[in-house]
Amino acid sequence: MNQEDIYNNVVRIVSKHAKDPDALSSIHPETHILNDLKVNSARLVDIVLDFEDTFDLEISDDDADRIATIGDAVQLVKALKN
Amino acid sequence: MVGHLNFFWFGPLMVLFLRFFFAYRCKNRRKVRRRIRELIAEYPKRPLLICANHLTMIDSLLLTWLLFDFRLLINRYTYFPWNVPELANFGKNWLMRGLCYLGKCVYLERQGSIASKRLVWEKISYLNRFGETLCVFPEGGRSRTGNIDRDAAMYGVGQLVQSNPRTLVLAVYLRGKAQKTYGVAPKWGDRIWIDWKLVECKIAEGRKAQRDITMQIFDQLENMERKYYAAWQ
Repeated sequence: MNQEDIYNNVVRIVSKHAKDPDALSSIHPETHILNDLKVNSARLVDIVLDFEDTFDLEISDDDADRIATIGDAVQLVKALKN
Repeated sequence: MVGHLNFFWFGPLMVLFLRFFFAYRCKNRRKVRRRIRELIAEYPKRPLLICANHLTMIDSLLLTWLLFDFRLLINRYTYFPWNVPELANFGKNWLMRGLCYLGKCVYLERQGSIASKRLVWEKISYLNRFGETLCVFPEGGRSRTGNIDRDAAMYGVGQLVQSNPRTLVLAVYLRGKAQKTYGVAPKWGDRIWIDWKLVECKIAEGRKAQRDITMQIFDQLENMERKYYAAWQ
C-alpha cells in the first residue's frame, strides 16, 4: 500500500466521525482531527480500531495518543507497515 | 477517614437538601435499596461500578441518596461512591472543592493533557482494585440528546471492567418524570424514576473488547430507558 492509498483510507475513516462537514472539503495532512474536524475525542478509539482493521496492524496506546493530525495518522500507519 | 467522619453531618444534609429543599420523591427507592443490599450480601468482596445515564448536575447526589441506605453508608463507607467530576464545573471555588473532597471525587480535566487523563485513570483503577465503589457516566457528560447517546460512549468504562473482571457493573437509569432533556437539576418536586440492572459483561482482551463491554452497558441503559418511557411518558 503506497502513501496515497494510506492517506485516502485515513481520510475516509476519519471523515466518518467528523462533525464539521465544511472542514472535510478542505482536508489536508495538517488538518487537526479534534480541533478542525470536530471529531469527538471519545471517537478516537473507534478511529484507531478502524485503522487496525483496515491496515491490518496493531497500534499501541502510546502511538494512538500521538495521533493529532491526518498527517500523524498517515505517518504512523506507514511506519508500522514497514 | 475524614470523609467518613464528616458523612455524619453532610449525609443527612444531603438528604434534607434533596428531599425537602428540592422536594424530590421516588416511590420505589426502598425496593431499589433492598435489591442493592441483597446484591452486596451476595457479593460482599466485589467492587461496585455504577454506570448511569447523565442528565443533570446533581445526578451523583441523587444516585447516592436513592441507591444506598444511610445506615449502610455509615457502616460501610466504601459503598459511598467515588465520582469523577469535571474540574471546570465542580472545582470553581473552595466551597465546591471542599464538598467534592468530602464527597469522594477524583477531578477530571476533559480538555486536559494525556498525562492528566492517565493519572485519573490510575487513580480510579486503583480505587476499583481496592474494592471502592465508583460512579461513572459512560456518556462522558450530560446527554445532549436527552436520551442515552451511544455516539458519546466513553470506552474507559469498558477498560476499567476489563482490567478488573471482578467488578460488579450496575447499569442505572435515573430520570425525573418532568425531565425532557439535560439540565442543572430535575424540576422542583419532580418524581424520580430509578432502576438498575446488574450487567453480566462478557469480557475479552484488547481494545475492541473495551468497546464491546461498554456497549453491553449501553444496551442495558437503553432497555431501562425504554421501560421508563413505557411507564411514564
